[in-house]
Formats: sequence, structure tokens, C-alpha cells
Amino acid sequence: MGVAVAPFAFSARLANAAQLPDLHGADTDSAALDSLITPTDRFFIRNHFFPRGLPLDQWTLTLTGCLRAPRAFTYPEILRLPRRQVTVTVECAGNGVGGGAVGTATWTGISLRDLLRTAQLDASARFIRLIGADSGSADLSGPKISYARSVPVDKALESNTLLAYEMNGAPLSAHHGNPLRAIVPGWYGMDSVKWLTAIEALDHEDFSHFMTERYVASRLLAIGTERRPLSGIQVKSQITRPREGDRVRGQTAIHGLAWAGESRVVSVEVTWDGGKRWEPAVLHGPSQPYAWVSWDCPWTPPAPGHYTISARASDARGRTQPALKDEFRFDEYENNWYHAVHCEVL
Amino acid sequence: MTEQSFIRGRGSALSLGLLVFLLLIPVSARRAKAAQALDDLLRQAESDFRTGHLDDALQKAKAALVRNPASPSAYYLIGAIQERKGAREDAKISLLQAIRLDGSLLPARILLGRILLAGEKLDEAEAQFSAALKNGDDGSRNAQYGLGLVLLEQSRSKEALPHLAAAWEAQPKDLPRLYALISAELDEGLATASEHRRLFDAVTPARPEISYKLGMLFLQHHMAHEAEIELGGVAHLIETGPPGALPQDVVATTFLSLARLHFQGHRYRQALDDLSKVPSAVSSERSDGERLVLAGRSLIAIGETSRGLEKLKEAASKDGSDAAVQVHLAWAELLANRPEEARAVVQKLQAQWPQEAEVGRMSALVAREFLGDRTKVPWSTDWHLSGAGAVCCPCKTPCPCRSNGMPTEPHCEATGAYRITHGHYGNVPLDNSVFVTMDANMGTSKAPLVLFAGPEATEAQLIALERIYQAFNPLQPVIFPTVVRTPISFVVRSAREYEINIPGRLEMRLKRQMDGSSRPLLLTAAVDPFANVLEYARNITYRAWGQTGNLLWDFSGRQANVRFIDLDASDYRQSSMLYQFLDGAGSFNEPQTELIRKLNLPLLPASAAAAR
Repeated sequence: MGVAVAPFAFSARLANAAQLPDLHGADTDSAALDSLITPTDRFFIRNHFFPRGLPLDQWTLTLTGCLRAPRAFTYPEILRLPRRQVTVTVECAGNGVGGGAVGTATWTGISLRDLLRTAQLDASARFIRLIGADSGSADLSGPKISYARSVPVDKALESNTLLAYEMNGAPLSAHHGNPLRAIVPGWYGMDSVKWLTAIEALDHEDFSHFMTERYVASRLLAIGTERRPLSGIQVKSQITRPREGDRVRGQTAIHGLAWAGESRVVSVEVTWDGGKRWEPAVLHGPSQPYAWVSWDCPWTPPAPGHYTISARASDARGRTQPALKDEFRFDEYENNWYHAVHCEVL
Repeated sequence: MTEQSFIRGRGSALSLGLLVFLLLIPVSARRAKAAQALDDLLRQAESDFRTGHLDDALQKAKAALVRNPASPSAYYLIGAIQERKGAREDAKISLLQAIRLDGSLLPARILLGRILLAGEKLDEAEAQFSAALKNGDDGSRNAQYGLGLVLLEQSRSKEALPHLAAAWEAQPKDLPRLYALISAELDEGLATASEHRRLFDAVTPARPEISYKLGMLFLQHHMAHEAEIELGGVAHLIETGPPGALPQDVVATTFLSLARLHFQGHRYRQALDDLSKVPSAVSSERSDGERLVLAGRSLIAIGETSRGLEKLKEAASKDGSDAAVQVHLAWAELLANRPEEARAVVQKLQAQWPQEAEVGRMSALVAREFLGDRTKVPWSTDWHLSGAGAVCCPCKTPCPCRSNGMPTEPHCEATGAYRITHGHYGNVPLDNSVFVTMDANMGTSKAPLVLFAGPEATEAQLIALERIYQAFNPLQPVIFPTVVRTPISFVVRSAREYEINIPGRLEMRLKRQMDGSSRPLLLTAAVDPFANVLEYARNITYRAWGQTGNLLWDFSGRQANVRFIDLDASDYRQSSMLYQFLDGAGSFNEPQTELIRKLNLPLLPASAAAAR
């Protein structure tokens, strides 16, 4: 029934927190990172239901639906398929501005395309439904449902769309989806389904809960809404240093990260005078699709005092971060307006 | 009587009535006389102890000790007196001495265990109770009770259970024991907790302080129904019993907890009644704020928007640090037709909590009120609808949702088609309008996923319709996610057959089930936003197609129903709609059953069974 019209959910969230303490694990502290790869133990965790790590000897991945050769795979069979590796920034769709629900890892696994070919994907397939082993009630009282998301078949067949069994060179941990999870590069994290146990090729649109009630961009109109399902990550930048409330002295530099989902970051600009002047930042290394890039911008504050530093990134598709949140957005996703940090120059 | 018999017969309550007379082995007359004198002293000391003459008791017990410095019963009695006088450390020393002299001295071990338990020396208490248990426990199973309490304190509920059960069986009318047993059962998630709760309520005389604890325990375990029963009982005792029987903070918590429970169960009038009984003398910033928010929201829920707004304003002014209160306030300002004031509230919210999702949502709702024709359709309590509606869904008949249950299928592709012959919302006429609502899955919101309206429907009419949906539950903002304007055909043949068509999107055909006198066969009370009664019908055709012409579903032959609508704002303001008490409990809940009775609504046998 409709988009999740649940304002006043503060108490519900508290109830969630009380019942499901493991769902919101660590955030990535990007300011504390030494490299562009986020160590696994510092990688953010977001789940809808309890993590469901399964013993390998009991685990199978079943492929059903619009396939000419539907079948199930055991873990050793998955390992025998061609190995593929890709570095991908995963961002939670609800990550706030300057938030920690984003991280970059090197993911190793198999191409979903290879797997679907093995099962002989039928031409009638329009969506690939990725189903996790985790399940529960979406609102703590309704029927039990599995976490599942469907991606269009074109995206599923991209060579970099992975079913990963390793993260940063080690087998996936329970929190990160062991033994197998999807990695849908350039798309928000909701599609990178963890604890995969089933894949279904659909010849129709998926109307299930996590496709219609969650992860929908919703903009209010006078009557009704404009709705579109979330997919690719929006262009976004984040200031990592100075941190909020820092005190700095003399000539310094502003550091940060920027990413653009399937596109690549082409520029980052920084302002400390409320947007009167934007200074270009220097990108470190070539910016590639899927992964974030670091940047910095030298800063010589004109005088001691309190400053608000803001950053904005632009990508190769011509997208630039908006200054503010769209006031009619009714959902909690795609929060990519300018990141601002307040600091004092001594 | 010997010292041994004196001690062993005491039990935990130091009862001389339980003394067992034993024959002694032959002793010399002098020794017998001395023993008799000692026993007399102990007996007198114990008598003084029982009558509350603690100093006299202590003096005599000490005198007994002079006569026999190795008397465990004298040490025990001294320990008991010290414990009664509040000198727990001294009592512990005396009792330990008693136990050193006679390790099998049950009362000493049990009393020492209790003192240690009260002092949270759980391991030491466990050792004493275990030792007492090994020595056979007493007739009241005090050692088992103590051990059970210790294990419960240590979160070892599973181990505690058999001990607490045995202790309760020994004294089935002892409410603290029953409370402890229920507590362990709740920790272990055992259904027997509810059975024992019923036994608890049957014990007389009631002890409100323990009922209160039990109510709070059920609250902790999210057992709202049981908590409500217990706390309701406490409230009754408070209101009918002597004043001051319970501390004022307990009275306040009782009524505030009941208000929360009634609010959650959509019984807003009861919540307001509860709140009026919270003693004003007992307050804190937090409880005052909560009381005001509950009162404000309850008033809004029953249509008393202006009064609700005032309460929320007061709550917000008392505590500006709670985003949720401010969000409620912004919403109340909107409902009170004060969009500018609502905007001022959300501006403050955005400045303080820019990333809070609820703030973002409320900001969007407030911003929307300035769009299009919305300002021309102010919130109103003057609305009315009359007409008919037909609904099809994949459930079996009768549809369990209609009697407050869960649907037959794990999905709910329900479509409702409505023809309003006469209607208005404020100044917006709704006469001769047709609309169709369609849902595709099981959401928590009460707004339909898709609203189909005729091409002639004005924006003001659609806003009016949305505002009527809002009136079904003023606390939960409603939006129509998708609105489609399209030709809709709604035809009724011979007052029996309903045919609804949206070309390319929907085909519905239903037939009412009637007897030879044209009376409906399957009329029943039902949970529905437009009517309290519906009649089940034959679902002849129910198919829906997507935008691209793909068949979304064909649930022909499944559930269908028809309702006749004569609804206005007062039905909701008077809380007389079954729909207002929808909680998915599985069957009609108490307020729904009451309404069915009060309004004399018809019930099918299957629905009657669902009315508990």
C-alpha cells in the first residue's frame, strides 16, 4: 500500500533500535582513512534484518525464473567460475551529507553475467531479482518477508556487476554478506544484496515491498507524487579535514573525497565565504567510475574567525551537487547537497 | 525442648508453632535443667521478637548466649533481631557464627541468603540458599524461593524456573512468589506466563504494589494486553481504595502507562481520561512533556484539533530539544489551517536537525500545502459521503483483514471502486464522482498506492478526497503516491451486479448475494474506512493491467464485497468506526467488539467467531 508514509516514526525507530541492535553497525570514518580502500573492520554496516551468515556446506544459490537451464550452485561451484575483481564505492541510499554510510572496497567474485549465462537467461527476462537469506517483518508486526531487490537485466549483465565472495582480499564476513553478496557498482547499496541465496529472472516489474515501499525517490506534488525507483549513486563530495568544530592555524589544506556512481568525478570546488568564490580542488589520481577519489584544496584563511567550508563535486555526466535539499522530497534518500564543515581559524 | 528442636522447628518465619517435640536421650537432671533454662530464655526472646520488643528480645538472646556460648540458635536469634533493627552487617556476622556452629541450621542460612540477596551479594547468597536446599529446605520452600530469586537476578531465568515453580507450589497464594515465577517465564518467552497472570489476578486480597510491578514487567516484555489488564486493575484499586495506598509516583506512572497503552490502541478518549488522573504534584520535565504530547495527539485524533494544538505548543515550549515534539507541532499547525505557523516550526527544525528524515518529510508536507489548489481546500470537519463501493482482493471469503486479521495471502492486491452520489468536503462538492484505489503490496500506510480518478475530477476534488482519507486517522499524514486521471466506468445493474472498468487497466465484475426477498445473504460488521458493514459478493472478474498493457494479476473468483456508504466527519470524531481501532490483532479487538455490540452490527458466523 503506497510509499512508506510514516512521519512520526521516531518512536518506531527507537523500537527498531531496541529490537534489532545489530542492524546499524559501524559507520566509516572517512577522515580516519589512510588509503582509498576502507578496511573491512571499519566499513559501514546497514541491514534491514538480522545478518544471516550460513555454513558453507548448507549454502546453495538457486537460479529460477526466465531461464532455460534453471539450477542451483554450491559454494565450490561458484568458486570454479571465472574470478573477477573490481574496486567499488558502496553508499547507503540513506547516507546523510557528510555521513559515514559509505566506503570503498576491493570486491572479488564472479560476474553475475557469467552465472546467468550458465543458466541460459531467456530473452523474456526484464529484471533480475536478488534474494537474501535475511528476512523479517518490514514494520515489526506485518508478515515475514525476505530482503530482495530487482535490477534491470541490462545492469545485471554488465561485466562489473559481481557476486562477491571476498572483500579486500578476505572471505566476506557475516556482517558483509557471507558467503556471497551482490555488488552492483555505481548503484546505491540497497541493490548489493547480502547473504544471497536465490536469484530469480523476472519477465515483469517487481512490486515487492523493497521495490515499491522503500528506495523510491518521492517528490510531493499538490496532489500525488513524482516517483522513481532509486538506482545510480548521485555525484557527491565530503570534506574529511578539517572536521566539524576543528580549530586550525594559518595556512592549511582542505581534504576530502568525491564519488559519482557510474560516472566519474571531473571537478571538486570549495568555498569558505558562503559561495561568493569557489576554489578548484586538486583530484588525486584519475577519477574512475564506481570508486571515490580523494581531493584537497590549499587554504590560506584571510583572517582568524569562524568559517563554514563547503564543497561541491561535478561529474562527467554534467551533474553537480545541489546546494540544498529539494524541499518537496518526501523520501530520505540521495542526500547529496553540499557538505559544510564549521571550523575556527586561530 | 532442646536447642536443636527449637531451631529446626522455627522455619523462616521464626514460628514457634512449628516446634517439634522430640524425646531426648537420657541426660543428667542438672544438664536437663540447664537446657530447659536456655530454652526458656530463647522462647521468651523469640516471643519478644515476634511482638516487636526487639531490645528485650536481644537482651534475652544475649543472656542465652552467656548460658551457652556455643548456642547456634542464640546466634541465629540475635542475627534475626539485628536484621530487623536494620543492622545487616552485624546480622551477617551473627548468622555466620550460627552456621559455623551448626551448618545444617536452615533458618540461619535462609535469612543470611536473604540479607546477601538484598545486598546484591548474589554469589554468596546463592551459596547459602544452595546449602539450605541441600539440607532439605523448609516446608515453605524458602531456600528454593531464595535461590530462584538469585538466579533471576543473575539473568539465569531458565535455571531459576524450577525453583520458583516449586516455591510457588508450596505457597500458591503468595503473590511475590507468583510474580517472580511469571518474571522468569517472561524472560524465557513461555506462554505459561499468561496463564499464571490469570491466577495472579484471582488471588485475594489483591496487592496493588505487586500488580503494578507485574504490569510494568509486561510492558517491558511488550505484552500490551497483559500490561493493560494489570495496570487497569491497579488503577481501579487506586480509585476505589483508601487514598495514599500507593506512592504518588506509582500512581502517576500507572496512569501515564495506561494512557500510552490506550493511545497505542487508538483509544484516545480513554488515554485522555488516564492523563487527567496523573497527579499533577508528581511531575518531571520529561513526564510533563510526554503527558502533553499524548494529550495533544489524542485530542487531534478525536478531531479536537485546536485543543490538541495548544497542548503540543505547550509541550514544545517546555522542551525544545525534542525533534519529535516539534514535528508533531508542525503537523498540528497544518491540521489547524495554520500553514504559515507550520512553516515557521519546520524552519526551526531544519536549522537544528537538517538531516533528520522525519524533519525532511514534515518539511515537504508543509511546503506542499502552498502548492496548487491546496490553500483553496482548507482542512475541514464538515464533510460527507454517500454512495457505494465495491472491493476485490486475492483473499479467501470472508476476508480476514475485515475482522482485524492478516490477509490470506502474503500480498494484498486490493482494488476498491467507489461511486459517490452525494458528497462534499468543506466547500468542495463531490457529488456524482467516481474513484478507484489500487494497492499492490502490504504496506503500513493507509493510503492507496494508486488513485484513479475521472478526467473531469478537479485538483480541488482530489485534494478534498485526500483530506477525507486523512480524517480516517488525523495522526498519520496521508499522501496518494500515484494519481492517474482516466475514464472510469462504474455500472450497477438491477442493484445486484457491479461492473467497473478502466480501459486497459482494470476489469471488475461482482454480484451481490441475496435471498428471494432481495435481502443480502452475507452482511457483516467489517473493518473498512467507508462503512462499518459490508456484504460479501461473488467475484466474477478481477483483473488488472500495468501501464504497458502487461497483466498484473487475475484474481477472478477470489474475495469481493460491497458496502453502502453514508459517512461523515462525525462518525470518525465520535470514534464510531471499526476501522479506527484496526491493529491486526487477528480478530476483532475489545473496542471493536464493544462497537459492534453498541451499534448492533450484524455478524456472519465466521466473523462472530472472530469477535472475541
